[in-house]
Amino acid sequence: MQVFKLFFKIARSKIFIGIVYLVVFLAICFPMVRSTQEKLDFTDTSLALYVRDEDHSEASERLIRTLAKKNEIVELENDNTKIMDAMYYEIVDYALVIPEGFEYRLSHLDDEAMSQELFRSYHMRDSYAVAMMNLDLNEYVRNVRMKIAQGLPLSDALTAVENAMEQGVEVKFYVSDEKTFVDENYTQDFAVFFQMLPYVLIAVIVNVLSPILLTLNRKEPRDRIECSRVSIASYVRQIFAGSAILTLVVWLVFMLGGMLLYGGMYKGTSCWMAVLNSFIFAMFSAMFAIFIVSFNVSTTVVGMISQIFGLGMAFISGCFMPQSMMGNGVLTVAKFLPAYWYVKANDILSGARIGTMRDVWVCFGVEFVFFVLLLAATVIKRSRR
Amino acid sequence: MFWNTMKYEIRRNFRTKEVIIWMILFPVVMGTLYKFTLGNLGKDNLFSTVPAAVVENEKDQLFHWIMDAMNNGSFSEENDITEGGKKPLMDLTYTDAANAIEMLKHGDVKGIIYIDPPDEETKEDPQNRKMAEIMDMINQMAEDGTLAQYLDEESNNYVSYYLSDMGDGNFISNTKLSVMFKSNGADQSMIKRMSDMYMSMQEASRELAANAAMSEDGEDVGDISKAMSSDVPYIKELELTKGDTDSFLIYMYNLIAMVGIFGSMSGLTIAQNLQANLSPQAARRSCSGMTKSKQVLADLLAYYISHSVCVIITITFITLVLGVNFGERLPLVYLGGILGGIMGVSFGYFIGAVGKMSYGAKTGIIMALNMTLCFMSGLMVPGIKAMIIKYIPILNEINPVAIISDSFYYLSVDADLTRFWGKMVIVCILTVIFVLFGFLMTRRTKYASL
Repeated sequence: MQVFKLFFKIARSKIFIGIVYLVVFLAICFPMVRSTQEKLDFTDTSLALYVRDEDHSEASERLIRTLAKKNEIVELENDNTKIMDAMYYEIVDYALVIPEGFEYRLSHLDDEAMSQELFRSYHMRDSYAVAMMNLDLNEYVRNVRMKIAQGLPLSDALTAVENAMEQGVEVKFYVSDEKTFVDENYTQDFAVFFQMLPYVLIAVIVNVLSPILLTLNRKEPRDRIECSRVSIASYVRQIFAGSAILTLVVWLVFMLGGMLLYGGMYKGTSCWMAVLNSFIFAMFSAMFAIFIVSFNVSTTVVGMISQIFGLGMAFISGCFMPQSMMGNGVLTVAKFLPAYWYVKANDILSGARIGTMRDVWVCFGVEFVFFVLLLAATVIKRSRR
Repeated sequence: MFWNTMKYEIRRNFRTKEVIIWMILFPVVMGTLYKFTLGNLGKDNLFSTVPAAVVENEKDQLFHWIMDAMNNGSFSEENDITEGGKKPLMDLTYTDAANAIEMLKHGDVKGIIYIDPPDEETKEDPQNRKMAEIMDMINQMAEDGTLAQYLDEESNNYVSYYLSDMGDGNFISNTKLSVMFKSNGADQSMIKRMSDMYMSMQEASRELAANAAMSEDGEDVGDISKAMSSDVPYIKELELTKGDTDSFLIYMYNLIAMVGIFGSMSGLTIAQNLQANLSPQAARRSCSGMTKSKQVLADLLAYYISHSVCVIITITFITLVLGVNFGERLPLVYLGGILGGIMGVSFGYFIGAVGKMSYGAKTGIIMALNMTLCFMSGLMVPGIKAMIIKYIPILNEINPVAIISDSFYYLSVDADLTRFWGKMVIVCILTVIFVLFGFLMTRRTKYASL
């Protein structure tokens, strides 16, 4: 057990890096995961609105209250630069200005000139937010105008329009009969944790495991071990056990971190399937670390390779951005990487993509094939040395 | 001696394969990946026509009329949201229920709009019953051939105007809409909003027709109908900037900022090579006649120069090979990148000087730190930056990567350079702080035994 003990003696010095990654990853995931929603309900897109009220009238305040029912009103300084920054970084989706004289003009909408340019909006790009808000505002004004034309005073017209805008058509949600499992315990929001996990697993496992193996592979310790009574077979077994246990520990720590975000023990088939998915990927990550070490590179180069491969694979496989938003060409390339199949399985499990349990198992199978291929490549590489 | 040390450090740097991979190859690979993966991101975020299926379980002529009018650009909404009114809001496919479900399943449409007869409760509503009677009367007149005569007699009546647009058929609708979606999103919200809007217009049209049928002179009706079909632009759009606001550029700004902060990997080596308890090279150098301050300055200058070359290569690759357009202020992008790189090297020197951990451990820490700073600046997920600006803005102000990437954003969108220079001053101040603290921690160190 000497080699095994030595393995973990070296591992202790690498724990800090793993903890840094874990804490940062959980901190990043926390705000993204906590806002859990029921996935089978329709949620209307709520926009972040900045509204500058220059009229300060009852009508303008009532309009803001009406808009606030469906959207979030964001407070900003009355400064165009701040508004531009907020819109660029999408903190604000739409910036509306209610100009002075709004109430007067609203009550005189029968005069076409009065209704022209009733609002001002700051424009950055033709987004969905712009389309939706323009639709809402135009409907609001059109309805007010019709009510006024019917002879209602402004106050009553606004009340009628506010009531009308609260009503909406019935929304049904389609649940495919092809999707054989519907698990509301695994929401798309929580799935973000598992979606981004491949990048962190690769980074942590490679950066923790590879330096240990490199240290053990160094000439002096290796020579000392080889001239000891420990047989080569026992040495390999102990190294393998050490690597497996270390990988298991790293993976378990992340799963426990996930539970922290989840708010308790994972529930439902989909959730546990996602856990299994991450375990297979952790195995692949460990195999990748062993494969790199077989080239006898330095610790710095290991770090580089893990970042280039990990970050690159995460990007093109959809760990940071939904696969649905990516081009077909990129996805075709990504199919040759295990993270693509990992994300695909995760999407099916969370309901972001239609698929059956069979499809999920296929994804797991492909991931496992990548693990086996890497194992074979490592064995070939080592046997040629 | 000083210049010789500097010269050899530069030569040594470019002979180190890690430097070549980290500082040049990595950003080139990442930039290429970004370009091919996210190149269309800015375009994807723009509004595009929403495909939807319509299942008509009850014929609704008004629905066709309003939706066709919107898709033909007759309505003001379209002109407001699209360039020159060329892009319709929705692309509707009228089909049966089974096919609509198939289309939804395969993602050909984003939602299904069902047009059904009104439920019994709605039918029994007194106003709707009265409306139904009026409509039956008008439809009956149309069938009898007496409608034309009626319209001639009541030439001011809005019914005339209304019918001329509606053509034949059951033109006053009393239907119920519902929608079906497979997932949530902006497209689905758009379909929901359009359906809500249609229902509100349908109700208005019924009121309008009731008033029309009962109106003596049709004056009020004319006002209502004008309001209903008005294409007056209610919203005036004001441009915030003439700069490029493509969201894809966020990735490129962060990529250059990342190359800058990766200078910390080189900076770490400086501290390593100066602390005699950490490396044999440092032990040899500490015995030399050259003062420590000169050694630090020579090393820093050498790393500043070599890292600046890497930054220049990266920016040139992004601009010339990947074709990313940084506008007319490209020289300032180079300046920002170089100063960012200098800050990165100094940051690494500072981290290297702190504590007595091994080079490997410090490399790991600095790598995790760099990637975290890059993540918080939006290198992987731009939404993170928005979240940080919203909830912990100070973090964005002190994050070296965010400082550099923000300076590029200011170059792109600001009319003047005030904010850009402000960020550059912060970069310089941070550089001085890092170097100063790094130097204070490595100076006058004495070793009892090495």
